[in-house]
Amino acid sequence: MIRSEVTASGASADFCGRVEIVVAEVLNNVVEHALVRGHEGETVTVEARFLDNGCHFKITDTGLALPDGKLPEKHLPPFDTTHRDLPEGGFGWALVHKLAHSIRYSRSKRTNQLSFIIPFESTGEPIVTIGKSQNPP
Amino acid sequence: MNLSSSTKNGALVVTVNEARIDAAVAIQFKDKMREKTDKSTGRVVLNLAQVEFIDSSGLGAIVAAMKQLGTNRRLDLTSLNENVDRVFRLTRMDTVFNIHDSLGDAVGQ
Repeated sequence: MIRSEVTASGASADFCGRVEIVVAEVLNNVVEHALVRGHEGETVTVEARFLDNGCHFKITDTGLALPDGKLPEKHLPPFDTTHRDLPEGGFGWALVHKLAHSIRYSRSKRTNQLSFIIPFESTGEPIVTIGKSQNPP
Repeated sequence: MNLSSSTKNGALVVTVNEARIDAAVAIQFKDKMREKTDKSTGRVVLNLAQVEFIDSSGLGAIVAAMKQLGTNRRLDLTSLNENVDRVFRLTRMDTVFNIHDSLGDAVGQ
């Protein structure tokens, strides 16, 4: 539903793709960690406002707080490791930090609130590619 | 989770006939990959041409699928769309897999 609304706004496919992954990661995290079995009736809301510098999201839920009441770290799990130790998880928050900015987390009145901005233009994560241009003129 | 497989040029090509590999299907994906790859030896090419979206759980499941092949079998990837490619790049998992632009490239045809 969010995807169809963002797509209908006339935004670029690149922007829609970035929105989809960030919102999916945040909502997966809420569903997997904040909402616990036996506590039915919790609510999750997603608000999005288009402003000049991008889409401003506010996602609230009445589930459990984030661990230590803090936003998880932005570090990627180690990838320069042996085959056996390659990470199978821990990518979610790293993706959120790479694609969104001004990420804020707070908790009050038993409600988590996460806000962030996804810029319309890609922020130009330094990418080294061989023989392929990421930003054709 | 619909996966199909065929053999091309000595490689087992597993094609994902789904638009998404996400948290809802990650475990199924890993199990189906085991089923598809159990009966063969040698290299595996995962064709992602039809996949429009993966999230971190889907990515983890692809890494898990590679690990369950053991150290002597390679899992290469082909035909990543822009959204899928972005997730591999941003997490640096593009350095862990050989990623080919097309199935033809991947199987050396």
